Amino acid sequence: MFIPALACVSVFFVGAFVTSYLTPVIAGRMIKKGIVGIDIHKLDKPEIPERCGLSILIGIMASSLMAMTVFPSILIVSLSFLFVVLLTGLIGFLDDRGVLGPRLKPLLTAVAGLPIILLGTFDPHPLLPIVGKTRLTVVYPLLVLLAIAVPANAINMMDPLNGVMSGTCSIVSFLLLVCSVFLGRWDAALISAGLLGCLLAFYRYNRFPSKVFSGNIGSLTVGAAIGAIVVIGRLEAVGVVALMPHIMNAFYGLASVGRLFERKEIVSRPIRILSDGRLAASSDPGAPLTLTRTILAEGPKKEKEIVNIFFLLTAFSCFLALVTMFLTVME
Amino acid sequence: MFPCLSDYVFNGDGMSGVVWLLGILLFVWLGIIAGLWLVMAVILNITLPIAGWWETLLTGAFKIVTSVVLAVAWLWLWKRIEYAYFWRTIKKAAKENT
Repeated sequence: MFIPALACVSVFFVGAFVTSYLTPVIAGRMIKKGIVGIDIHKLDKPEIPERCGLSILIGIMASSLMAMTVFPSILIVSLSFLFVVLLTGLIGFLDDRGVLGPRLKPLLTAVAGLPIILLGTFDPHPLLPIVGKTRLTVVYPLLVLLAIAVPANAINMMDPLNGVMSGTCSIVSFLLLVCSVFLGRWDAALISAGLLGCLLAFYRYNRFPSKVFSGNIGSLTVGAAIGAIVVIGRLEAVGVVALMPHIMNAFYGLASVGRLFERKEIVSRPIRILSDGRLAASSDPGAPLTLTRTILAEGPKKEKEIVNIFFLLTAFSCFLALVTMFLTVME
Repeated sequence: MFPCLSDYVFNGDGMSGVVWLLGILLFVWLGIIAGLWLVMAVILNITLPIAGWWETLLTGAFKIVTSVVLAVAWLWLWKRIEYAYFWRTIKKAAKENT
């Protein structure tokens, strides 16, 4: 137990160090190239460097290489994880350049799950709460593709305010690390530790008020990484419950618009900024229903308050995910 | 004297909206747990009392259709609750402002 725990700590610090070092470097390059996005939820509309989530992708790669070096027995698992993350990072890069449409992106992120199937780093006997061990030998490979596409796109859709993506995903990664350690699944624990290190380091720059934006390259990579950890660590039920706020947000958006959509396609914005800087929900029935808009239904709030509510909801869903894990191992 | 959760989240504002959202999360979670149990432990173990070669086919189709209907009903109920909460709260807030 001591050696794998020590390995987790070292992988965590490698991920954190690489991301922490690279984020300002990449941000500087993005500013020089003019790749900036406007923070539309601020009155002064500051320009923030985009696509800085590239540092998370490189941090995950570095931490995975460290994990492979420390634990050669997880070489195949780490390789499948690495390929999934690299492929999704590439999809995010193309999406940032505006090449992909709202239908092609989910399809491609599903295809990014293929390395897990091809390298056989999954177990088609998922453990479900109360029910226990199940046998899904035929359907499971298809579910692997969904397990990558759903979190990747749900997390990509829930990056509306400063620090929400990196903060909520840090909480989910911490839960996955705790569950993996508790269940003795050290391969998933090592990968989770690396991801957690990268996310916490990135959160330092991405938190309110943001100095960097992750871009699609960051959010898709993180979502796919979480999906891959869930499959590799056989934490399917835990992962679904922990990501409930993200899935809720995506579900509300899809249910209200009635189809897959890109943010730029939205004519009526779901939230508006008031003259005092607070954010308010739009009362236009044609605007998409998002989790941010639902949070603001009661009345206008400051951006920081909304971000805190996102963290509270994620912490609550992670608590429910922990209960789910106990319901799973009880069987 | 001691900081409470509402101070941290809202700077002293009410918590009813957050409590509603936590309630919806709880409903969704209970739906997942109950739905998984119903599908895996009940519906998948059902065998239709039909004799003949189509027994396997009909039983399989029944299991799939029942599971899908259950999932769609749960999603519909979830959407209804969310919409009801959102529009009721928006109208209430607008009334208070006027």
